[in-house]
Amino acid sequence: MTGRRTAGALALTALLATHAHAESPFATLSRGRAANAPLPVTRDFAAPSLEVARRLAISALQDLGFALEAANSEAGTISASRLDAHPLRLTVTVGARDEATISAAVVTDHAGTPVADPRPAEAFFSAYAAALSPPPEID
Amino acid sequence: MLLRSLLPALITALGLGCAAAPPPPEALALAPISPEERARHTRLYETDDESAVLAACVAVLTAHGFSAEAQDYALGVIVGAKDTHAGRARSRLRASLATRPAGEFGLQTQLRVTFQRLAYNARGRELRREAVREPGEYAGFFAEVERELALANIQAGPK
Repeated sequence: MTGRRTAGALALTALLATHAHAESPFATLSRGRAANAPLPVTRDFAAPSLEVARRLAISALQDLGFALEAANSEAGTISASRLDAHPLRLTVTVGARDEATISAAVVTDHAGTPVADPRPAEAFFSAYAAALSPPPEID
Repeated sequence: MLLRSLLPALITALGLGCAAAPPPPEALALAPISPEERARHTRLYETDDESAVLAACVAVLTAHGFSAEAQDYALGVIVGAKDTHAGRARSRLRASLATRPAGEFGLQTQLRVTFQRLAYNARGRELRREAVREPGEYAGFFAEVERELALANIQAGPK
C-alpha cells in the first residue's frame, strides 16, 4: 500500500515537472506559444501598392513550386504548401509599412509543426524581390 | 509494481516534453520552378475582366466534381479539391489557381494553376503528396476554361 502511494506521488511529481511554475492556464498557454511558435521572419520591400504586393506574393510562392491553400485579402495573408513530397507550408502576411514600403512576414511549418529555420523564408524573400523588381526598360 | 504505476505518467511526461522531429533538410531547400513548368501552369487572356476568368475556372472545376476549399476573389485565388477513395485510404486532387492583371496597362488577365495529388490514411494523416506534371492535364483544363470564356467573347492570349 505504501509502495503504491509512493508510486502515485512520484507519478504526480513527474507529471507536474512538465508543468513547473504554471501560474495559470493562460500562463501555460503563453509559455507554450513562446516555446513552439517561432517569430515570423520579416522583411521590408518597396512596392507600387499593397494590392500589387499581395498579388506578387502569390506569384512568388507559385514560382517556388508552392500550391496555394488559402488567402485572406482583409488580413493580407496567403498560405501555400509545397506541391511535392514535403508538407512544408509558408504563411505570408503582407502589410503596408508606409506609402511606398510594404512589410512581408513569413511563418513556416512542416506538417503543422513550426519551423524556426529561416531558409524557407529567405528563399521566399529572394523570389519575392525578383517578382517585385520592374522589368528592365528597353531603349 | 512501482514501474507499472509510474509508466503512464512517464509516458505523458515524455510526450509533453519531447519536441517534434525537425523536418528533413531537403524539405527546407527551395528552388524556383523551371520556366517550362511555369509556362505549363500559365495562360494569358485578352480581358481585364478577372472575375470572368475566375467564373470560367469555377465552372470547369465544378463540372469535374471539385468543391471549393478556399477562395478570395479580391486576391484572385481559388482552391478546389475532389476526393477519391480506394479502400480505406483516401486521396485528393487539389487545384490551386490565381489570377492577376497582366500586360502593360493591365488589360490582360494571367491565370496560373497547379494540380497536386494528396494521399491520406484512414485517420486522415497525410501520407504522400505529388505534383501533377502531365502536360495534358493542364492543357485540358485551359482548353475548357477557354471554351467557357469564348461564350463571353474572351480570347486566350499568346502562350
